Amino acid sequence: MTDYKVLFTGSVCSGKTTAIRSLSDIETVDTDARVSDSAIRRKRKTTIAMDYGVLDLSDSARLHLYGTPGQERFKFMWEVMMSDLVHDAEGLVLLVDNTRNDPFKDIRFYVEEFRDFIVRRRLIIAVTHSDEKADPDHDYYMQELKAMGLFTTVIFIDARDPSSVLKIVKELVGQREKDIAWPELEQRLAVNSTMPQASGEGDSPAIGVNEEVTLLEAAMNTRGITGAIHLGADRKVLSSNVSSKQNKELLRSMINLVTALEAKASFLGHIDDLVLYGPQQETLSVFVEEEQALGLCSHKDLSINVVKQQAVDLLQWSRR
Amino acid sequence: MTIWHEMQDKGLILYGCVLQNGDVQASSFPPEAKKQLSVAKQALAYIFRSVEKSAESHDEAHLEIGDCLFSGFQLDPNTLLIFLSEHDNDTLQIRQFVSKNKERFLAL
Repeated sequence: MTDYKVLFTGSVCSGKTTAIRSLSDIETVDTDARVSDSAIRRKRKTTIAMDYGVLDLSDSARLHLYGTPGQERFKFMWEVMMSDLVHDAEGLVLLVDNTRNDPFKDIRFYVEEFRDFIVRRRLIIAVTHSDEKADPDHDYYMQELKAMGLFTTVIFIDARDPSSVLKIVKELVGQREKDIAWPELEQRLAVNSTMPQASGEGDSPAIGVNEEVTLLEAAMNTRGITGAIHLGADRKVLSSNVSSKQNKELLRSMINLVTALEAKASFLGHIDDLVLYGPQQETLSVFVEEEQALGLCSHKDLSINVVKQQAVDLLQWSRR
Repeated sequence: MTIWHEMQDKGLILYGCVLQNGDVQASSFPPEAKKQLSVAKQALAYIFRSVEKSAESHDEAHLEIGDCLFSGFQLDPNTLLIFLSEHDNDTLQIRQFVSKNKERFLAL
């Protein structure tokens, strides 16, 4: 029996768990926990340690499927997996959510994080959620990746559809395993489908319209964030739950400053954030985009990187 | 070795400047970074004026803009310390250095 291994990685909500469930012949082992940050706007549960599944390719070959947690704060698991569980993997499948503001930023991030791992293995980029947002298309990916110096395979998949995810497996082991009966395999895995028309329900407990979580609720779902203010393109307050009047005023001043600077100091580039600290005060941070702005109050001990990651997700998902 | 060199050697900053009542007291900003210094001075002075008005006591600000990180530390009501560093620098390390060396900066 030849045992192959493959590691799936990618951002939160890119479809890692779903893809593994689509392919696995066994009940997948997952380590889902209730979402405790801004990802609550996309789903109720998230992987905190790893996903695992197995696919019997033929009588003589088997594929072990491993998935990393998506959230950066569980990054230590990436190291554990790379150095131990999947040190002998065939390849890395990087799932890229096409609805992200800048999917190439994600690609650069993960390629950098997994650089040493990729050097010796195949990298396959699997683009997901293209049914929700078709652009960038395949040609654009190829063009951009070439410009980044990445000569790799790009496959558009629907993680809920086993036959679609099988394209990755074909790409990975198809050349070496000539005995795989692909049509039969596809038929066997059809029961794993979580496509809406097949089962009537989605896999990842996506948030339905009726139970939509507001941006402020999502912000407050992150431990350490104590208040949020959301402003529109005209910089008028859309919603706020910042209780301190002083903090609210300061956040608005900070947002005004960033907006003014964007115009006056454009030669320096885009302003990512402005953060204000105090020895005993809550940390105030603002993130400004053309269409909207977000101000956050957080506990002084909460890492600013966590705050930034939450803000990026909150702003991105509020625009969709 | 100056305090600016010390910080540069540790990889904390590119350049630094001490402002006393808005005027440059000491600086390691080279002429080619004049525009950046001007932006940093105006932006950080504005934000600390807003802090003063609000009666809050935030004394540290970081502005991430393009590839740069501008940091400001209000050392006392009249003295503002400004740094320019690379955008991914560790602000915690800069804070710790400033905290340990506050008197040295004030003596510049």
